[in-house]
Amino acid sequence: MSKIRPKAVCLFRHKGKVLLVDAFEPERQERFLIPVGGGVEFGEHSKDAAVRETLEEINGTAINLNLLTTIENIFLFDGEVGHEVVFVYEGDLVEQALYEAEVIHGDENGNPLIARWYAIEWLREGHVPVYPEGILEML
Amino acid sequence: MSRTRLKAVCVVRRGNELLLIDTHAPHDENFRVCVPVGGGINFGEHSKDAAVRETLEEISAVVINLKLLMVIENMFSYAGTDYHEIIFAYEGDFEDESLYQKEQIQGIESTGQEFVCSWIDIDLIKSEEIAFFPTQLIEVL
Repeated sequence: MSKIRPKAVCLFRHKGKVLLVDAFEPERQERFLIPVGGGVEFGEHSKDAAVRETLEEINGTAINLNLLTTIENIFLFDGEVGHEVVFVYEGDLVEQALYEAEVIHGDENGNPLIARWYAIEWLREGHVPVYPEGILEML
Repeated sequence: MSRTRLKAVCVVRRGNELLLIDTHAPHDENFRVCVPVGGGINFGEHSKDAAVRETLEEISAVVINLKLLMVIENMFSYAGTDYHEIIFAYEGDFEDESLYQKEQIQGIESTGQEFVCSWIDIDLIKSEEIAFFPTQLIEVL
């Protein structure tokens, strides 16, 4: 049986923009955006997981983390039902260079990851889905 | 490997009291412990639905007007085993108002274990005269 996956993500804001990662849903051929983050390990606090994932994915040091909400996300991805409990944090990055970067090339468990700064107002116009649903309203 | 357990619990309020499972420590019958009614969230199930279902299964009562109090990350060790729970803690009302007149409500766990729920004064929990878990919930009571 499938199991519920605890996740921790972190939103970083800068000058009306938010840092999000490119993602793709193969069955619907849909491009979407997600925050930096990943699975919470057994015994790990969600805040520590958000910090660790930020370091692993974009080599960034996340500080001043503040929990915005916890989202229960039940969804369909590539024909399979997924169920995540997502702790959504907002934080700051120590590395100023990450705020200035046009594109951030990172690593997601050995796969290339691309993160960019997106204008929050533009995202609210619905040009591209941002998951989990509800996080744009938190900003 | 151990895995994180997702749980949903629900407390019902009567004035300054909460309906809680009134039990004792596993190896000490004189050590009174109170915990909310609730249990595991199923895959694909929203925590609120799980809280309603667990209350129905455990004490045969319908709870309505559920309001999320907090989400608790609870890591602890017990009898040599490590546990990691994520608990969605709700407060709700009984649909059947006659349940508020009962001083005790009988319950049954999915394991078949029977238990009793009592109305516990919140001040006894806050003053730690009665042990209550998860402790993080105390701050929002």
